Amino acid sequence: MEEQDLTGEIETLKKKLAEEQGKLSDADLILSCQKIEPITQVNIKVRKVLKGHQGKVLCMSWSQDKRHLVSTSHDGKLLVWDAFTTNKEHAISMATTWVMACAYSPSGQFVACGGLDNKCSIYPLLEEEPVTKKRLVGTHTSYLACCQFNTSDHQVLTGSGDSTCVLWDVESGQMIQSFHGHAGDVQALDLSPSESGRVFVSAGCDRAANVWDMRSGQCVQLFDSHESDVNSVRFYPSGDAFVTGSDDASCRLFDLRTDREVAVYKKESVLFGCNAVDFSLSGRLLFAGYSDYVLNVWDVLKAKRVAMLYGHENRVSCLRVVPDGTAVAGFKDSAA
Amino acid sequence: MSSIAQQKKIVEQLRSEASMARKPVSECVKDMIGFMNSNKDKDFLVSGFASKKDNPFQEKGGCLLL
Repeated sequence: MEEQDLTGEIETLKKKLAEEQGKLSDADLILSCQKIEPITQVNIKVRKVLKGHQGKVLCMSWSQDKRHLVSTSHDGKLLVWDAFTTNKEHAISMATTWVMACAYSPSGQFVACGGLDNKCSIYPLLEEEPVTKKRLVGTHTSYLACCQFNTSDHQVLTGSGDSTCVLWDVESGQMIQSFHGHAGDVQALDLSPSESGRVFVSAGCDRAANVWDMRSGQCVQLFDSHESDVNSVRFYPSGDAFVTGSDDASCRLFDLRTDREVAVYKKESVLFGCNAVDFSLSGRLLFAGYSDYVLNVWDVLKAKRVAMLYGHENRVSCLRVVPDGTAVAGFKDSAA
Repeated sequence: MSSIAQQKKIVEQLRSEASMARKPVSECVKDMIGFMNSNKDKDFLVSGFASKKDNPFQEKGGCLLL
């Protein structure tokens, strides 16, 4: 096929896509929810402060036991905390600085992490000296930005500055599937809570969020309405939608089944980039951490900010709601 | 990859995206609201705790018997 014909077909297909998406835009999320009772009060207080990191905290992950969490920082330390007592249970010094990615394994026995070393490594927490039993899971050609265990302790999904995501087998260190398609560094990823092991979303510096079929390695949906780097992405708890947080100071909600952006969470007075997002258990509240030290809480159905949580002396770099929805932890420089 | 090969890839990708089955926004909104309502009570950050004892992060008060 001639190059001209291909270019022509590309234009036609893009128009058709826009048409198809437009046809189904028979409602507006915010307008449809006008009659719903607004959230009038958000009673969220700082209950615990986890101090111990010397440098900027770059990533955190809750254990499925809803009590422990792991955090990694730019000075190369990985800490495992008991959030109920604020005690540090493990402290591991990594061979690299800027540990931008970490994840707690579903069983709670391992933590995976990596950063500027381009590698994803796994540490067994039950060993007396976890650092001596470190195992390499996979290597990228640029920094490791994010990682998550895929439904079990045996597989890890990674996202990298080399613009790819890879699914690794922990035991063999082999690549099971690779995901190519981003035009820039991948910054964040999240596995679908409903299509466990089959679907995940990734987002990055190309301003786009890609939805992937994990078996074929194909990008099945692409959303690129953000105006700047996307730093964080989280699935809505039902798995039907996901939210992104971007340097363009907005968070956006994309619904997978209708294949479009359905809400934007932004405010004129919110000028700083959003670095981290997560939903409350029912998906009604959106927690978003920004570079101006604030954690904004948004009512997802009204696109209105319902609370501002302070308690940090620096920018909020990562945040996560506990698996049972009882709390949200946000990290910045050295404390949660 | 030659530019023609790249273009062919884009065409394939767009064709598969165009053939995707989509739902109207109104239906998706209804589902979202339904999900939120059925999980509202379990969402403590929205509905609060029934009693302080239910909050695992609540500081445990206590009296000392001297």
